[in-house]
Amino acid sequence: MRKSLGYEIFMTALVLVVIAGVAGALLGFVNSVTYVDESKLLTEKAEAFFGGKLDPYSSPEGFMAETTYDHGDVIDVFQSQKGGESYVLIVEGEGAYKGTLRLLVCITNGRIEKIAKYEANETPGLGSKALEESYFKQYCGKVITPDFKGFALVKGETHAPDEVSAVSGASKSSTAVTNAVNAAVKWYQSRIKGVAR
Amino acid sequence: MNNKRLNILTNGVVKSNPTFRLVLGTCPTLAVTTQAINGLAMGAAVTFVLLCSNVMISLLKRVIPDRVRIPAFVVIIATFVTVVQMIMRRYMSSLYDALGVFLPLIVVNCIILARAEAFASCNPVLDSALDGIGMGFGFTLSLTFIGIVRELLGAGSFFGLPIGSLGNISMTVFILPAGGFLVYGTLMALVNYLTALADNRKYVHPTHKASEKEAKV
Repeated sequence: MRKSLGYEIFMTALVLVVIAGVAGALLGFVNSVTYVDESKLLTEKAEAFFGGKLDPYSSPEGFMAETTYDHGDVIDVFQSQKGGESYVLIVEGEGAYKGTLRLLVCITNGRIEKIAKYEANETPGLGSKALEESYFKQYCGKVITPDFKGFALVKGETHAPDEVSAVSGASKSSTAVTNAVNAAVKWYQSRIKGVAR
Repeated sequence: MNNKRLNILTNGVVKSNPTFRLVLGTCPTLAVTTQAINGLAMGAAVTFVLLCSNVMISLLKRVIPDRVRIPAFVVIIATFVTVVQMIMRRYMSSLYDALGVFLPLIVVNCIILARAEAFASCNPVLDSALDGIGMGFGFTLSLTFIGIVRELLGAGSFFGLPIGSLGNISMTVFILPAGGFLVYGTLMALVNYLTALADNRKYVHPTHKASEKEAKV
C-alpha cells in the first residue's frame, strides 16, 4: 500500500522530533547530575592549594584594581587571617604556547609563599616543564617590596636576584608564568601597600 | 553462531583496526597521543559513544526513516558525546582539559558514523554492541600504543612516570605534531607487516591459498 506524501513528511518530522526530544531530556538529566558550579570549584581549588579555609577578598571596591597589568591579569583573590596576612590569587599570564595560562599564587606577609598551576594546556613534556615545582621554586621566597619591579626572565644563568632562568625549550610557557606572577606582584603592591607604579 | 559473534568482536581489533588498517579518525589520533593516558582516555570515550550509539541505532533502525537517517544518527551520536563530556568534566577535569576540543569532535569522528551507517543500521542489537566494543577496543589499543611510544621517546616517561634519567636524552620532536606522523606511519607499517606475515602463515595449504587468490580477484 502506497502511503501519501503528506503522511510520509509528517512521520519523518515526527520521528526526528521524538529522537531530539528524548535526547534533550537525557542531556537535561545528565546535566543536573553532573552540574559544575564554577565559582564553588574555584574556591575549592584555591583552598586545597592554600591548605585551609579562605574568604573572598573584602574591600569596598572589590579586588579589581585600577592598576593595569602589562601582560597578565588578576582573575580572583582570596584572603585568610590565619597565622598572618595571606592572599591567594588566581592570575593569568599572556604569551603561553596556547594563548594564556592561569596560576595560583599564595602571598603571606608580603612574601611569595608558593605557586601552583591552575589552568594550563601546554605541550606535555615540553611547555609543561615550566609548570613544575622545580621551576616555580625560582619565584618562591621573594619578599615583595614597594620598589620591586617584577621578575625578569633570562635565558641561561641568572645574574641578578630578580632574574629567573627560563626552562630551555619552553620559553613561551616560562614567559607566561613570569607574566602571571608579575601580575600578582603588581596587584599586591598596588592594593595592599597602596603603591602606584 | 558463537564463532560469528567472536569474529565481529575481533574484527575491529585486528582485521579492520580503525587506526592502523582503516586509517579512520586520524585527527584525534595524531593530536591527543602526546601522552599514553590521553590516548587511553580518548579511546575510552570513543568506545563508550560507539557502544551506546550502535545499540541505539540498531534498536531504532526500523523507526528511523531512510531519508533522514544521517541527521538522526548524528543527533544520537551527539547526545552520547555530550553525556561523556559532562561526565568527564565533572569527574576527570584534568583529562577533560587535556583532550580539549577533541572530545566534542568525537561527534564527527568517522569511525562512529561509519559503524552506524555500515553496521548498526542493518544488524541486530547484540551484534552491533559487539561491533562497537570491538572497534572501540581496537581504537583504544592503537591510541594507547602510539601514546606510549611517543611519550617514551619524547618525554622519557611511561604513563606520566619518569623512567630513570631517560627524560634527559628524550627527543622532543616525538611529542610535536611531526613526531606524531613519524610514529603513526612507522607503527602502521609495522602492524601491516605483522598482519601480512600472520596471514601468509595461516594460508599455507595450497588449496586455501588458491581460494584466497580467487576471492581477491
